Amino acid sequence: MSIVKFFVVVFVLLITFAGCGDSGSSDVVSRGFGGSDSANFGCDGTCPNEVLTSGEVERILRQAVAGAKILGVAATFAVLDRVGNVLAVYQMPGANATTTINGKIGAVGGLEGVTVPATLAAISKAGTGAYLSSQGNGFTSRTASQIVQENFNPGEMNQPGGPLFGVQFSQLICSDITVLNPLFTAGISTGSNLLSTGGRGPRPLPLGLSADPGGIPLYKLGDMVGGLGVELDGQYSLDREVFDFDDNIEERLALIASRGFEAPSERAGDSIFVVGKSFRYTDLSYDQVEVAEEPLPELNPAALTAVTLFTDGTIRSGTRFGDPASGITKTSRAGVPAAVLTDEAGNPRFPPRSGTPLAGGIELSAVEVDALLDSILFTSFRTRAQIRNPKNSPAQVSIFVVDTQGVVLGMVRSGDAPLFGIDVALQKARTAVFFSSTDAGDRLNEVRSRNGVGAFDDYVSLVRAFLGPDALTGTNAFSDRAGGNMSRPFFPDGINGRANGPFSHPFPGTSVAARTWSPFNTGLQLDLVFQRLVQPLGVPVNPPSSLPDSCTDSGVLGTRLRNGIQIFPGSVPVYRGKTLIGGIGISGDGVDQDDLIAFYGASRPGLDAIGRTGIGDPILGFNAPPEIRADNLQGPIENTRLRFVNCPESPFRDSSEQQVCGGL
Amino acid sequence: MRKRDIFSLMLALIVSNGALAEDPAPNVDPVEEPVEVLDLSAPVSRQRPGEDAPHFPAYVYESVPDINSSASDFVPVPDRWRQFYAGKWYDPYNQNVLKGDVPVFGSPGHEWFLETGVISETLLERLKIPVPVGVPSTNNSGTIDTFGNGNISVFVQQIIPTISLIRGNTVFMPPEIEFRFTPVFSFTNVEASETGIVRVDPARGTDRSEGDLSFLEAFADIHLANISERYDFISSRIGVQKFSSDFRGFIYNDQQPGVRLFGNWDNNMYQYNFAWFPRLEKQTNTFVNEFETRHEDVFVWNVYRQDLIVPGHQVQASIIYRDDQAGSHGDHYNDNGLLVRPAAIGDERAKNIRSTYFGLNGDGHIGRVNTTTAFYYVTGTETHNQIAGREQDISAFMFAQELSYDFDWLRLRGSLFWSSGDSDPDDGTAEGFDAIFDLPNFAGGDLSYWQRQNIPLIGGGEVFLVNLGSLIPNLRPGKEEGQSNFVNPGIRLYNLGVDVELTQEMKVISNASYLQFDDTATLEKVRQLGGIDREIGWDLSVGVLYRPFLNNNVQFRLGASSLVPGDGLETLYGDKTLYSVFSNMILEY
Repeated sequence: MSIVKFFVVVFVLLITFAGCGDSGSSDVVSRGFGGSDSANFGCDGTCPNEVLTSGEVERILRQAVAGAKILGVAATFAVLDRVGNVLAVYQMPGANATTTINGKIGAVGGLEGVTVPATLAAISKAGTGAYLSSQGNGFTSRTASQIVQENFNPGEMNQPGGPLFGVQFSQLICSDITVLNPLFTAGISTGSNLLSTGGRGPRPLPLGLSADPGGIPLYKLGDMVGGLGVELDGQYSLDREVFDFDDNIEERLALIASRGFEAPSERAGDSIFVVGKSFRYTDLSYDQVEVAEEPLPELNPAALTAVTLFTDGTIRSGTRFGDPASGITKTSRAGVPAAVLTDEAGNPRFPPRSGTPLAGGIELSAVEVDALLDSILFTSFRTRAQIRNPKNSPAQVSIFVVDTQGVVLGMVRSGDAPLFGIDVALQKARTAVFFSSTDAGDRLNEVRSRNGVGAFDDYVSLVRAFLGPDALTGTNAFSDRAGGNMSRPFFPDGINGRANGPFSHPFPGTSVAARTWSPFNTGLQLDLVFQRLVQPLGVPVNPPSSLPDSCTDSGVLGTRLRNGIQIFPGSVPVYRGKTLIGGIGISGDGVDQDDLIAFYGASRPGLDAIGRTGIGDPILGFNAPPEIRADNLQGPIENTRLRFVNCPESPFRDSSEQQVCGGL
Repeated sequence: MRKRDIFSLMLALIVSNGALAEDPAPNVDPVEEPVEVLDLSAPVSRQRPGEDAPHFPAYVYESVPDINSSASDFVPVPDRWRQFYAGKWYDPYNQNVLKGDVPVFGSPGHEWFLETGVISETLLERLKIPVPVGVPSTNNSGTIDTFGNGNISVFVQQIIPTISLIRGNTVFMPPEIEFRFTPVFSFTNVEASETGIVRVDPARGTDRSEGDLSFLEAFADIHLANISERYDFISSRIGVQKFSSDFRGFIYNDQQPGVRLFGNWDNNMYQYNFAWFPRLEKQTNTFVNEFETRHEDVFVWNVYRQDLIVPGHQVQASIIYRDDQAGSHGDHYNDNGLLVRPAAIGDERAKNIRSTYFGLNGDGHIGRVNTTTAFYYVTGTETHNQIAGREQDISAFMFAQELSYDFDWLRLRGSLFWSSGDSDPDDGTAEGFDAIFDLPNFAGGDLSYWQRQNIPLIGGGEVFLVNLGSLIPNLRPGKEEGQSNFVNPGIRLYNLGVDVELTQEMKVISNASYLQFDDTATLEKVRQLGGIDREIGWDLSVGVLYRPFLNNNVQFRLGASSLVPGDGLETLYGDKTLYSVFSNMILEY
């Protein structure tokens, strides 16, 4: 029976093998989750809003300094509240004073290679943690890095670009929607930029949103109260390689400093999926980083740094989000919890109004704007959120309606929508209107001819070579999704190796062009705002003596693109018949949801659902006729066309309907 | 129609169907080949024990008299192989040198036989699956929702010739050695209705044609020893070989290179396998092997015992160990441009898998009740599961049971399949059962919609809810190139079937299965969608097998299946009924 014995031995060996499986493999690592389990309070957007006190800001800074000492480094830290008030900037002695922008793909032009103060980088990183997050989702600057690159995920070939492709160029100082604090603008001519003392936001972020890991949100009792940014390595960059686990020292410091203010693990990005992919929160987890031991080191008063336009070098308390003092005041609309931007007196900044008069009096009326805001907000409340937990929460977004001149006719937000969407929704609304306008090509050519600082390509010729001579003459309705298709370094979007869209620079290495694409040099989007973006940053003049009124050339564009364009989905132009009368911009949830909310909110069934049956076209509502939508336009490559909107699967919380947009 | 003519016709069909010959000639005659003619006038001496073997004339079939047309009742032949030799090379039903009936060379007692064959399989299929519209570009304007037109047409033509060279008296004892080579020529054409389906780049349109040459088998089978007077044996097989690790192919059922030791003992009461398969990569669209390692090793040990419990019922115990180290060898994109390793789901980080399956299987009949049983428990580790975003300890099970009963020409079947699902994707324990490379013949097999289609998990990553040829909703990006995934919803399937032998030539197989996910927590996580019901729906299928000549030389299969979505599937894809209709022609020589 030796055979039997032999197999008994084999059996035992196999069992032993099975046991060995637990040892794992050395080069494929595992980890825990982002955020902290102890920070889970189950908040879904309805928890009370907390305040980050100056004492807590100080504690975070002391933990940060302790962490830096453990790691033997010197760094610059910034803490912001949810609406972007800078609560402190702390630059340790010996810390890098500057940081250099680097997209890590050898791109040339735009902001690539520009050196900026580390304090500005820290503020933008902290602001990114705060602005992308909410009670329903915790995102970091690493999340931002993941969603602004040429593929999503970065490094996964042939997948469309990041869902928030281009979002880095928002929240700019030159934006007309953001508000500066006059306490910090001494000696600077601020023009017509909005100023407000106290804690009224939304405040701008000096470098826009940041993709450089080291910016995280801060939470108290499940509420998102602000953000922390760490800059030390002299590189203002992004993460090109998302499939590994980085031990990033800026991120490590951010985690050490934020202990006690961790994101809930049930809300951290890696617990949230979009198109089946989870977001990156941090590559390190709290249980992998050092603990700052008591007694924490005292702060060095000299290290509390004043930053022109942002802070005078003192530690402040944050504002309570949703209070009038925060500039964003809770209200309700169409029976849905909501919020609006308010001024010093607590009055809405953008009560519904009628549009700039058009021939035939066909401009949007105040009543129509009001109806659209109702319909869109109600649609958002029906919409199942993609980027929030718990699952099946209502989508929470910022909503803007503009007229043909980019003038805001009305706005409303969901109560807990992430803050970045305010500026972005307005950018999107204006972008859709502008590209759908009859004079879009002419105006762009004019901007090009007057362009002073930085290069400006012949985009009009490029897009007409791409789509045909009628492009940018008002013959078609362009959504941001359509414009976004043309703003990617590959067309079709994400297909590596294909040539760039006409609004994008070529991908590095694919062309001999003088300027190449990176998230810091996107193309038309950056060229339009480049001069007025860099002006307040001390580049090339330091310190700035005056601030621009508009991010774009207002001499040509007037109010039409005041805060710049946006190149990811979430907007539709608004029509009466075949005539453009305005635009809708949505930002704050998944891009398909943003599309749905804009498109369906403007549609007949959307308006009917809130009883506005007599408003808008009997069939189309305020949407463009199907035959002029941008998805009729074919690209130069066979089998390709632009997209108009893309409504998501299982869109609504209150029904099992699918395919709700088709035919509208 | 006489048999011989049928075979001629059949051969013509084979030839005209494939790329084997450019000129389809119905009466191919090999007379041009040089023929060594046996000199019948010379005395033919018989072999006698103890005497040296006489000179063997070359075994050329034309050299033997056709006894059917012989004037004499007694014609001397040199050996027993030629007693009934009819002499037509295309006739597999009489003694044929191409079918291993007559030795081709060798010496008495050590004859070598040549066995050849060719199979042509032609498939036409029209199906409807849920598909997404292209995100970067769509095929038509006005396409503004997520789901597109899922109508797809498929044509597949496979030509599978096989050649074996065998030494030994196969009828009387196990052959001593066999070399077998089975190449496969595979051609597929797929026409979809949306871009981005057949290739990830929408610019490449909606059609895809692809041809591949690979091999299904290429092995040497070496008989090692006979261990009893009744030819209990030990044998080995080295090379690319088909192997199914159990009766129905639940865990591993594939053609892969390997080393396999097998045999039996105790008058064939026991059989066993001990095998190692270092697996090869596969082509994405034709599913055939590539000449490239998959970085995955499969070790199988099993033992069968006949007549256990009751006579006529055999039981198999098995241990299968799999070591998948693909995660340590970089990204892998499939032929259509999609990332498949690591799977494009969750955090998309690479993983390695070590898992061990412990299985107990039964097959046979108890009285008049036919029964098949399978139970597996799997344990091991995923170094990093993409959905869970962390390391996983695997602990999952699978159970299958089929019972059937024959009433004359009618067979009633009932079966149950249960693979465990993961109730908490975040807890570090992977409780979703997954196989290595399953190809189960169960609950309708490839007639059923659920097992016949790759159903993409739209909005939940670039993976399939269920893979072609599998029962398990394992969220793999293709069973061929994707890695096992033990964080999955699992399934419970309840099946009733009726097989009807309408005539000798025609059999109708019908199945109705009710499908449920075992636990939808994983789906809710990847879809970011709460409240997904467990109900998948009803899988209804009917198939007709028609064998006009009562043999396997000409077979026609027609199948129609549909999946009527239940609440859970409706939440995922909407309420449209999915279907597939196919026809399949198999010609075999």
